Amino acid sequence: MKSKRRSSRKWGLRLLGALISERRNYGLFGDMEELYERRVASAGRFRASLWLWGQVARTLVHAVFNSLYWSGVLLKSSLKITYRNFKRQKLYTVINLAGLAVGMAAFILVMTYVRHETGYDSFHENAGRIYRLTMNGTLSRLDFNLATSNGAIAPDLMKELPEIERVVRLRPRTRTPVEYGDKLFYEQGILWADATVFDVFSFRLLQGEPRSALEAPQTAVLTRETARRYFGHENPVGKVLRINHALDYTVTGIVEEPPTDSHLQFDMLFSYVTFQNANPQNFARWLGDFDNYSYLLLRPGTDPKALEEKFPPQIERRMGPVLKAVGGDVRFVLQPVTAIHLHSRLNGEISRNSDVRTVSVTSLVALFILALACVNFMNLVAARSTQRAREVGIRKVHGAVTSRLVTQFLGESLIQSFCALVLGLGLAQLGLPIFRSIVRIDLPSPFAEASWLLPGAVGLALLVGLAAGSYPAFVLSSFRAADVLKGGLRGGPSKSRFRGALVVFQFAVSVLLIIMTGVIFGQVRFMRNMDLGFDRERVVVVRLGSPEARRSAEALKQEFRRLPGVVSVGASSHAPDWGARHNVCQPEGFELDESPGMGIISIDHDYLEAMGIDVLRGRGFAKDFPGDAGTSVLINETAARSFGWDDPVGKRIRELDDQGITKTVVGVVRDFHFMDIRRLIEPLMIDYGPADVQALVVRLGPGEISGRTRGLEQVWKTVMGGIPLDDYFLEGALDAEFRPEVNLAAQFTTFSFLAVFIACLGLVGMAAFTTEQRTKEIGIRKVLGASSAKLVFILNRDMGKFILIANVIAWPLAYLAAGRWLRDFAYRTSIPLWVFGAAAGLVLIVGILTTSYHSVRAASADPVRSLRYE
Amino acid sequence: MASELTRLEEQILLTVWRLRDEAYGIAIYDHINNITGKNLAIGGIYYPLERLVKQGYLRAEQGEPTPVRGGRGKRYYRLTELGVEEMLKARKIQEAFWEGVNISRFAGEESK
Repeated sequence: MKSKRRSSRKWGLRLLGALISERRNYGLFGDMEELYERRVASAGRFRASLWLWGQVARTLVHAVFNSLYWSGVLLKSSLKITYRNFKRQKLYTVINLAGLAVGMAAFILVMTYVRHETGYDSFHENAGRIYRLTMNGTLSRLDFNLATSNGAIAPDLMKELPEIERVVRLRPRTRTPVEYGDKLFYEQGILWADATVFDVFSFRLLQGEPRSALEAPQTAVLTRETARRYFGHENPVGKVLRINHALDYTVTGIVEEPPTDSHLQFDMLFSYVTFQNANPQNFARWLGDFDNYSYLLLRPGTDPKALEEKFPPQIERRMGPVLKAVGGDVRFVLQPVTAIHLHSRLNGEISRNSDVRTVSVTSLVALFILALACVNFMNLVAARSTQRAREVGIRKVHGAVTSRLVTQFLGESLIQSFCALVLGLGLAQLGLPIFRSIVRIDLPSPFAEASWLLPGAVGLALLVGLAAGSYPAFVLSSFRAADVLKGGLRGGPSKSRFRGALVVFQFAVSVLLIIMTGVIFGQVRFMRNMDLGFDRERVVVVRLGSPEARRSAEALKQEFRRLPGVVSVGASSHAPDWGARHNVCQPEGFELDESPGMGIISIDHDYLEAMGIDVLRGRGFAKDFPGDAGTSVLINETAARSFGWDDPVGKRIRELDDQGITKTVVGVVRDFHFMDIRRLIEPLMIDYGPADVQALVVRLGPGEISGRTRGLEQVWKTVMGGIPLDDYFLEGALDAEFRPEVNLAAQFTTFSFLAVFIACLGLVGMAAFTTEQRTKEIGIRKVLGASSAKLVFILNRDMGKFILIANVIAWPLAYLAAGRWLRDFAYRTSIPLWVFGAAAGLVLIVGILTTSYHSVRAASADPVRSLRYE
Repeated sequence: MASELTRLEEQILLTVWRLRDEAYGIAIYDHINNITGKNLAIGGIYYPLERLVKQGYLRAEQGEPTPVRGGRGKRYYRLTELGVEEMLKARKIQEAFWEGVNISRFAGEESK
């Protein structure tokens, strides 16, 4: 009994002891214990214990207020000193705050972007266990590295390997007309998806049954926005959509839009089983159709590397004979779903992935910008160190210890950096829309997630404050009072060299960024003006999306051609910006196992003329040669060269497909770009196939455009009736191809601008300081007959020297960086050397302009005033 | 530092003066509670005491450890010259305010 009461009393004091130091407040603890004993004697242990608990609680309130009181007193006094310092040096304070705030805003925004990019697909609850099955290897000498796989593989593997818990297959559907009542849209974002999609991934189903929504054939799940487009405010579940003007799909669920940081984006999901039932031949073997994405959910604790080891026997069992016949091998690789966005660069990615290099370069540049702002701070403090040094000396004489001064200086810079943080957060919010348009991502606001912003921002301010304040804190406060006060420390050569180095660093970074911006723009311009091998101007591409439209292709062509202003109309299986299909082809003189892969498109006899593609040898397809269908092909120059054919006309070639008909080459066309324009043109085979066309290309003559596109629309309406026209300008679509580079150029423009801005802020501060220091010198020079112009020159000479050194440092770095970046382009601009000169000239002019206010003012000042006090 | 003494601080200083060699936490606590009739928390006296020490009005000394205090010594407080000065200042202000004021408990009713 007794021990229990003792412990209760002890607990009260122990709790107090945990919160405030017992050793430092021994008086308090002693008093409490003594009073407690007194209570025990007068009122008994129980009452005494109650009393003690009350005392502990009430004392804690006092303890909290007491600590607040003291921190308040300290903060008040140091804030006051800091405020006075700031007020005395308004210009410097403004420069520091502005520079730091801009640097921080840029950094915060870039970190938001980095977080978004690196956090892709981590919102899935099972993110750590989801892997994508990818394929690589060689088939018929054709190397492949695919993000996709055959639709039979994943389910078959799951049957054999217990480590696989679930499987989801996704398959993008081509543009599809979808109708509900009188509403019709061409849907781009349709995925066939297994019913397990909601089990494996964490897309939020708002309506419908997650397990069964996509189980039945001809069922669809729509995103909320998509459903609104069709059904407005009606309940979408149970409604029926008409797909491709022919098939009815029932809506079985509504899903929330995929988050922006999901590599899977879609508007509709169709049940995969529908596709599987309609195309059983695709699932008969592990080969043939490779347009599916397979995701595996592994059981907890499964090692993906160990699982990969179990794939080769399965591959051997299922594909062995085929592989032996055509020659080649196949490997399966598991990719963590969270690594896809930044680290996967395979063929046939489901969406455009980013690149870890882009992300790291961007964060590096942002870090540089932040460093520039810190440099401003250090530089200005270093510049004024002679004044501050005297202050330090006097304080030391008055008994201030070094540690107290360190605290004061660090505190000052921390206060500045926190003020800058507040401004920077505001700037970040203001700059968010601009930043969004630069990176072309609908980034969430940094304020949306306070859980990382708050500690992150406070950490940033601490880091910046400590980094920027470390120079004054540790260098200045270590000055010896006697030296400083005797006047021995007057901005010696080592100090000015330090300042010079900082300025050089700032401008070197600026020049580097400007040159990179110039190079990126140069490459964009180069690609825009590049000879693509066809005439891209004034071409309208009309998609033949439905079977009806494809059947009417010939009629449409005739009618379009009759329109005024239309020069020619051609038809093709692939418009110039659509790429080509790929297959292995066996040219004459090649063994089966050394047959190369080629791009293949089908065209009609008018296509080459409509696109302005030249025939170099032989002939193109023509109406006069009705036998061309199924027997004749054209090849491009690259193909002829890679086969080693000097005279390709008359050679024979066979596509290794199910029919395997041997065809004769009747002509060679000039190389034109049909795939990614950043890569080398591949060998291409063109066959005559008016029946396979998917697009019409309509070349317009010079003159007014909009009336003609209206004409196209009218013709389409009379021929096709209710099906809407689906067309676009080729040039616009090709321009969109450069978007990554254009984005990068925009990013670098912004960063260069920020860097120059911050560096110039620093220059203003430096100019103000040096002219102030040299007032007397200027006065004397003037008295001795120097002209104002000469004085301005003298004052700017140092700065000019720094900027030149900065250029000398930045140029080779920029040259290397530009060369490295350009290496990824098969067709690239030479590094434009004038950009180097332009960057140098630009920073020099901007530098002179920013300092000229101070230097001109100093140079034109009346020498009498500056020399009067001596 | 020359902020005026609060009423509690003034009472504490007076108590310390009155108790002389016996001025430690509990004695001060009891005395103030007795006179004012309040029931303060110990912390409510202790923190102002420590603040007065920091401001230089009081000096603290450690006494011999006693078993009844869990082996801790008493913490005795003594007035410093600065403290005495401050008390006198407070007294002067007090007296200046009371100078010539002559009200009895029922002054309010008298004037009716």
